[in-house]
Amino acid sequence: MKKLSEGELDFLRELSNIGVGHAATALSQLIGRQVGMRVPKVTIVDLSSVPELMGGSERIVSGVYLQVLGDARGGILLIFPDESSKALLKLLLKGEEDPLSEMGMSTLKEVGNILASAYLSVLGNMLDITLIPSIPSLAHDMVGAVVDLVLINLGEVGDTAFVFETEFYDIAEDIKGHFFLLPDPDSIDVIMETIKRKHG
Amino acid sequence: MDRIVVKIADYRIASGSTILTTYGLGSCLAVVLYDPEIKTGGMGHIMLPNGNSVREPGNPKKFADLCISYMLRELEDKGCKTDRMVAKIAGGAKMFELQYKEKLGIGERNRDAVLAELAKRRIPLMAEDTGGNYGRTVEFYTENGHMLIKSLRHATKVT
Repeated sequence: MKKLSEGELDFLRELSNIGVGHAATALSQLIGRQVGMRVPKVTIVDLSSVPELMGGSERIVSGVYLQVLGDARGGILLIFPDESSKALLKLLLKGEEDPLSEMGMSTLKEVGNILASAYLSVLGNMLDITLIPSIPSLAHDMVGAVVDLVLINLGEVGDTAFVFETEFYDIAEDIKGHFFLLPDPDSIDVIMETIKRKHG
Repeated sequence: MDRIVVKIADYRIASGSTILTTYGLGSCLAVVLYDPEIKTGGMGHIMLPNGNSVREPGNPKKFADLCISYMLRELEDKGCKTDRMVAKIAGGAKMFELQYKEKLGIGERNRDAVLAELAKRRIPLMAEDTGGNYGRTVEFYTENGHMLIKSLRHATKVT
């Protein structure tokens, strides 16, 4: 993978902030209450240290995975620590809800869908391509197991990963998540080149 | 008992009363090679089937074929004999149900690559706990060759 400079990473962070900003607007309308979201950090890390970064391989998380279809292919993975997915469900459903219940699972998938769609539309607009998310799929398990698919995808093109930290604000609950953007090996160069060109 | 943690895309060798552990395997696969005669073994945590199929190989230990051959070389340096060696594997799950499927999931491809590599070296597979849609934590006891598989929603298995 080509290296990105500090400035290019900042650009990617800004882009992500616009994406999650759109997602927050959609979520706010859904629950009838103001919710803010931002991406405070974009980090490039060594693949083998990703599980530690997310609190250790055995920590329980909810992961929502969507395939990206259209002009560029790939995937998006959103990870919420167990406490955050519970807080998120409480906020959205206005009551206690188990992330493993039918209602809990479909709500988390819908959150994934909203976030991914908003993010992809911003990214697509910038790159002048069409990006469509697939139906979301959910896994509730150890973080190592949930992210290793992502690491495998990235492992085919290099040994580093982009991780976008995402946090909610304007709310009492402490909700944090991580999301991974995973272009397929064939799409990665297109995206990198466009970022370099648009930033430069 | 000492515990040695095997990180993703790595392998570790141990002997005597040691526990080799790898946490939270999804589609990845844990491969254990063990010489019961001298109670010495290794555990690898592999991510991908073959090192020659990718554009930028990078760290070779993430591949089934290369990880096994590096691990074997190091085990032989420690006195292990390939013809005494046995293997155990775990992992290779399919964590997400994909709408547009690949021909074969990566978990299955990893498993096939490991089995091919073991067959090539005539190392018998003594135990296997693969597939499903859940994560696994694996412990291997070099003292007696037992492998423990722990998961969130299933009982602990011993092989």
